[in-house]
Amino acid sequence: MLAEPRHVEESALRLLEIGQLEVVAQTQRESVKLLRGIDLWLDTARLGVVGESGSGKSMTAAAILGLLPTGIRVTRGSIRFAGRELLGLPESDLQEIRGKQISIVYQNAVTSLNPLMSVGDQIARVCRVHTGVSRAEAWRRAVEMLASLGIADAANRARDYPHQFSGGMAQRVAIGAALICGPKLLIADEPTTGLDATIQAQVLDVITESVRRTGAALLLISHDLGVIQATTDSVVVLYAGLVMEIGGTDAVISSPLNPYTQGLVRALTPKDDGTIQFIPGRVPEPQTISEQCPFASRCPLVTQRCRVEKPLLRELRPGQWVACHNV
Amino acid sequence: MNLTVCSLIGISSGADFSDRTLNHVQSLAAPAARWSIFVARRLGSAAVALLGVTILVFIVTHLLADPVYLLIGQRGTPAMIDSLRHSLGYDRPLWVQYFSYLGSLVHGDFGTSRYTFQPVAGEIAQRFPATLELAVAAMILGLLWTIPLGVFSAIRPGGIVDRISQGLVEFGVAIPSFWLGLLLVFFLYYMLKIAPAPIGQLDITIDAPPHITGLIVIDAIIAGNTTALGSSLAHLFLPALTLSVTSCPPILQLTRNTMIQVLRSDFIRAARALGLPMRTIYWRYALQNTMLPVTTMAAMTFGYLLGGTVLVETVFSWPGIGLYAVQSMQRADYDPILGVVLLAATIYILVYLAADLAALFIDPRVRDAS
Amino acid sequence: MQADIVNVAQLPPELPPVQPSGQIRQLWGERAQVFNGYWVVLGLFVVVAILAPVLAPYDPVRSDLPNQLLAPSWQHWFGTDIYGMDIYSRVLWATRTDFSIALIGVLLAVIVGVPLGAISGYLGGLADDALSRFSEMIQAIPLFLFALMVFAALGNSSRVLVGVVALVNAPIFLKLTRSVVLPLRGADFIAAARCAGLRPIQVVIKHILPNALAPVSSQFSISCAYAIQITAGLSFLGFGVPIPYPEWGSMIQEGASRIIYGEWWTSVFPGLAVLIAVLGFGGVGRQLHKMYAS
Repeated sequence: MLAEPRHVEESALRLLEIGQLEVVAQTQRESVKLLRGIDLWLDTARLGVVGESGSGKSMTAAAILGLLPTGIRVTRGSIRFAGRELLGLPESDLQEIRGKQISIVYQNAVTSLNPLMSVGDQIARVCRVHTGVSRAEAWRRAVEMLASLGIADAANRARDYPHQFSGGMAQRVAIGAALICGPKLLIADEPTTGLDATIQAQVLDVITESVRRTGAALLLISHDLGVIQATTDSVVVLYAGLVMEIGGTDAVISSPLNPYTQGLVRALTPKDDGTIQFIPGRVPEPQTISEQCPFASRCPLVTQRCRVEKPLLRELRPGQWVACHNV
Repeated sequence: MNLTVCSLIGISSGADFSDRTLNHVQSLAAPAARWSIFVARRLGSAAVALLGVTILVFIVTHLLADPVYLLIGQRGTPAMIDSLRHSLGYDRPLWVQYFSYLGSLVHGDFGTSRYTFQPVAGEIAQRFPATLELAVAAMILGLLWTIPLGVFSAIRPGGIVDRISQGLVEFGVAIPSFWLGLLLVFFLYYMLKIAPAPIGQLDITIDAPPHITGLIVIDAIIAGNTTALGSSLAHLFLPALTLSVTSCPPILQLTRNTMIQVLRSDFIRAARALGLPMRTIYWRYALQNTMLPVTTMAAMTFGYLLGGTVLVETVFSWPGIGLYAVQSMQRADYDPILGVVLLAATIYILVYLAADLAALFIDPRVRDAS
Repeated sequence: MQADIVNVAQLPPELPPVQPSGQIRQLWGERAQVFNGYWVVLGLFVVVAILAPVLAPYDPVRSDLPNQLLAPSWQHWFGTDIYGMDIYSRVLWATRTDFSIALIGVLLAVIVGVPLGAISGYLGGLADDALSRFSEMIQAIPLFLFALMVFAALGNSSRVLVGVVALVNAPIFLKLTRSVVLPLRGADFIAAARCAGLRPIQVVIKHILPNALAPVSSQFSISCAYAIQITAGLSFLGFGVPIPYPEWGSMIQEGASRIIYGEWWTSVFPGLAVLIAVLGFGGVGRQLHKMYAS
């Protein structure tokens, strides 16, 4: 299922490069760091971001698109897309980028679609907003897109409403709306969570196939390392707002260097008796972590240094970067 | 109704809109049979409510005030009273009397006015268009100010527009409608001289256009009579404004609160993430989804308006069924008030029923379930 | 098989009913946030109602025709009406009239509506259906028309006015109490109380009704606001409080015909009083609601 890792042909310019990004949730009483200075970059066509809930995966996606909820903002760092700094761009510029250069599909597709508009209308509207083509042309393109995503009888189905689609089918519609303008980057935020296993595989196939066909890069966010393994070329491991490891998917999974990644990989395969080896402990609350390694409370290799100093990413092997004091 | 409805609605639950709609979809994607049972049940309870109202009115006439005394007063001798009672059928058992009463209602006999000696049904029919005109105008004015204000309040909750709207709602619900009417008359007629005198639908000097619908504005348009049209619109403005200020605030509250919830939902987030301009998101995506509950509420407000014009009609001498009821009461003429009660209650129950059923149809998720 | 004797000690402990005194203590702790301007306004009205005889400079029902329709001045703060009566004094005295009618009417509504709602919610079935239908019926008839009909049936007096206020508000309390009682009907602690031998009525009074205290008190205030509007409106139409009696609505009516001649004070001041009183009750009611909803 995995094609040859294809490097994005943008000369030396990476399509997406995030540097030391810090995101803070600000209330009247306190401010809590949700992302503590993450670095990630797109070197291959398909990058996965894996982490438990609360690791900051969705915050990262929101930050890229400039859609952080009120009360949450970026305090430091940079997000460069095709060489262009996204942070600080005015809303009008961001609106042009969203849907046209960078698109996103979310977890629950049926609720991500307008219940009172036909799916064809919704896709066509995205197309028209960014390209200004006529209604007829936009509709034609929408139907074509739906067909290419594997929706049978697309011309008629385009007139149907979101509630008439099953979860997997609705996700195809959402992907259609995301890809209709040919963006360079598709972000998929837990696109298959909550779907049946067989449907999951189908949707993942649709995603990988359609980004390959349209030439878009993929940023796949998931808590499921199995999904990441099946769909991506490189992976970023996030824990409590900090990047623990970055590298080629195969390399990281076959020989993980960071103790957290090792725990994740171990949990991937059940033991002989069928039990799953969970990582003991729980993800700490963001307020409780200051300048330290966030995994310190659960790490088997923890030392005193881990509790007071944030580890930085180091390239321990060619192409594999790890943040840990003790490897 | 205003205050309680307002207070109960202003406090809406925090259930996420997406979840609610999802549950809604799942519960309504039912086979056709279950759906028609629902419709039948609603029709049934409407019928029961209507019957209940007739029973109530019947009780009022026959038990609480001896109708014979109403007719003769205290001047009759016992023999006269007895014979009258017998000839009018008041000595029959109550339930028999009720059914004959129900029968006469069905035949359109709503009693007779003791003042004009005309059938009440005819007098009500003659005056109803004026009330209808007033209610429609109040509704149009009301929607014009409540819905945009509701949308702008939801776009920036806590902002200046929102605070003004909340203030308007609080005042609109609290202010006595008849007092507001008088204030408007004072400021706009007496002081600023831009509104006409509160003496009914038209200037005394202008003749009404030929009666086609009974709604003077419409009749004037049909007849091409611009003077009458202008005058009737001018006279319509103040009472309609008064009514809209005092009965439409719940629509503003509902629009605002529903829209806030809608703006928090998943599909709005996804639409924004695809680069749709906020203009489209607010006025096409969000507003469309807000309109479902709002139109239901608007319909119910309209039904309520048709029976709630008593005070405003009195202040502005508006010749509708409200004024008719009051004037008759002041003349101790009781059949008219009962007729008006029956009509208004019937309208309210039917409008409520229609709004409920229409809400089912408007939603495409339900349309397809059949 | 021999029936086992229930060992009372083994039953799950009865959840203590919501203690009204506990809630009051909590309220006292939050008093700074809770008691805002609306309470002050209402308090002022209550003070005025009680002290009207002392505060009013003139006799509210003594006509003084030579001094009719005087504009507001230092002698007559609110001016005089068509009979020469001082409007300021009448507005003060009318506070008594309107407030007592409203309070008594709503109290009656509570006395009738709450028990019926409790019965409706607890018993369910036919009784519930019948009572719900009945209250829906009353609410289907537009308010003022309904009131006029009651006056037609029972005559024109302030007693009937109080009755109308009560009749119109009772269904609201019925529905409210029912909505509190209904979900608790199957609760565990109710079952435990029944097992402990309490009769249904004891269960309802001791364990269920205290939960209704908060919503009922909030609704009480809102219904009082509603009641004042009803009272003023009906008196404006000439039903309820007879003419020389000071009452805000009838005062507005007296002044209504003078508005078009520019003599605004006869209607404006009593109307302001109605507006502020209704705002006060409404604000307090919403405040109470916010307190119990959190």
